[in-house]
Amino acid sequence: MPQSEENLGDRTTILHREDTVPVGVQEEFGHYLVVIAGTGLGRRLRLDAAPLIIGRESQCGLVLANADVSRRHCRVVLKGGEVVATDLNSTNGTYVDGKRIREPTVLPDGSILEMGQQVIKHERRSTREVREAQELDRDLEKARNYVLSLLPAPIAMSSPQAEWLIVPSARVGGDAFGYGELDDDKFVSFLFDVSGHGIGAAMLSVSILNVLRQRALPGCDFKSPTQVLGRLNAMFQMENHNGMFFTIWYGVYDRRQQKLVYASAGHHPAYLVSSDRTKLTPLKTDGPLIGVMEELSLEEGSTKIPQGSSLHLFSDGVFEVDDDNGWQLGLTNLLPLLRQPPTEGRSEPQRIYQSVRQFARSGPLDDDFSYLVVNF
Amino acid sequence: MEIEILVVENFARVKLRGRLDTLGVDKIESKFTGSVVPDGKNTVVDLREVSFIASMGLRMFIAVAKQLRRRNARMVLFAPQAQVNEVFQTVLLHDIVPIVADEAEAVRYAAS
Repeated sequence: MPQSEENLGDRTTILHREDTVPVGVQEEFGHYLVVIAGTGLGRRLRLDAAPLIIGRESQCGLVLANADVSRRHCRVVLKGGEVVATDLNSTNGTYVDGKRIREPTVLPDGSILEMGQQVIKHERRSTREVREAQELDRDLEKARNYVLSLLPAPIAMSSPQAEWLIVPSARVGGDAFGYGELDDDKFVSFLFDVSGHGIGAAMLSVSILNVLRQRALPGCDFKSPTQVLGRLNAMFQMENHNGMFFTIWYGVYDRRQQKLVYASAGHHPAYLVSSDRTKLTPLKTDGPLIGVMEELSLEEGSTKIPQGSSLHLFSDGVFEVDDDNGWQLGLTNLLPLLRQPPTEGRSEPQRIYQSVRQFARSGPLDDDFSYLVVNF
Repeated sequence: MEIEILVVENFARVKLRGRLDTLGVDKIESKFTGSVVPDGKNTVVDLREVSFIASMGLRMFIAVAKQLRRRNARMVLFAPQAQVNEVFQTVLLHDIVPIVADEAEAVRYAAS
């Protein structure tokens, strides 16, 4: 990296770092395949003179353990400065920019190569651009770690107990949750999901989480779910937050009355699971997405909390999960998993995650898996 | 994700096909927004062949609906599949964007 020095006459030296390519120096470009959906999400592979075979077989240059992909699915060759894809009589076919290819086909810069649900993008990039992309990946990792560092520790020694699992997807999402004491009698728990992925969603997620953790809504009664959601809506209007909005479930448990008051906005229900796991009670009130409308009409719900019951809060990434054939698990099919008996040595969120993973296609999940259980 | 746009006078009919996940929205959002928003056209959107919608898809519809409203135009969605409609019901999208059963109703609603 070129640097220049500037001596100010005292003991201060300022170093200038230049990111631009110096005049006369030819920037090196390469052709890359980047996995943007499916198995190996985020993987970046540089093409060279040797043909690259993509398939399920372990001998392939790019191995994709995905049922949509044939053992030897397609070949990609860099020839005369052009990238050419050829289908190898695959079962599901190879598509370039949405069109099935029957003969060797040029992949222009930015084009999309699809094999079932496996999606790969061709990028012609300079080494500097690749370095920047890698730095962005590292920033995403930092953003993900920062969100995780703000989540509360599980509670095992006092009542209610809380246990959770968050498994971030390859793209950073905007899920977060929290819980804790509001006073001697009241215990709050919440989970929210910011629209989209990436650093923007993570940043908004951190802002919301800090507002809720530090109770930084002036004049707001945090024991009132509708008041909290209304104030969040006023604070996080999408026009002021890069077009992002979020869904949320927020509940306050009163130990003395053994009662839960709650409100939700744009979020699917939380579920109260009875101690013998025979009864699931959906807990949801009607409320639109937070940040979309200036005025909100919110409702508050309440329910008695029997001793030994559990509250399950989760994000849509838990059930918007596809199997190898493209079938989605869905909320309806998730619910029977909540009734199943506990697994020795695993927390409830871990047990649910294992079940969802068994259903899901191989590779990382498309969205964050965020699951919080509060045991009363 | 595929998009077809048919513009007739001051009215746009948009047909979407595929999954409105992050990748799908990336593919069509510029074309969708650019075709209907600048001229403030009343717009009906055919969702019969949309099999999945994620938050980025909701965000696209909400943003377009709001921009059209500022131009005194209206967007109406019609015929969502059950799984997509379930998402709309959860987030109460109909409070922001009208959702109706078929095209004829959508056209009537958009023009009213």
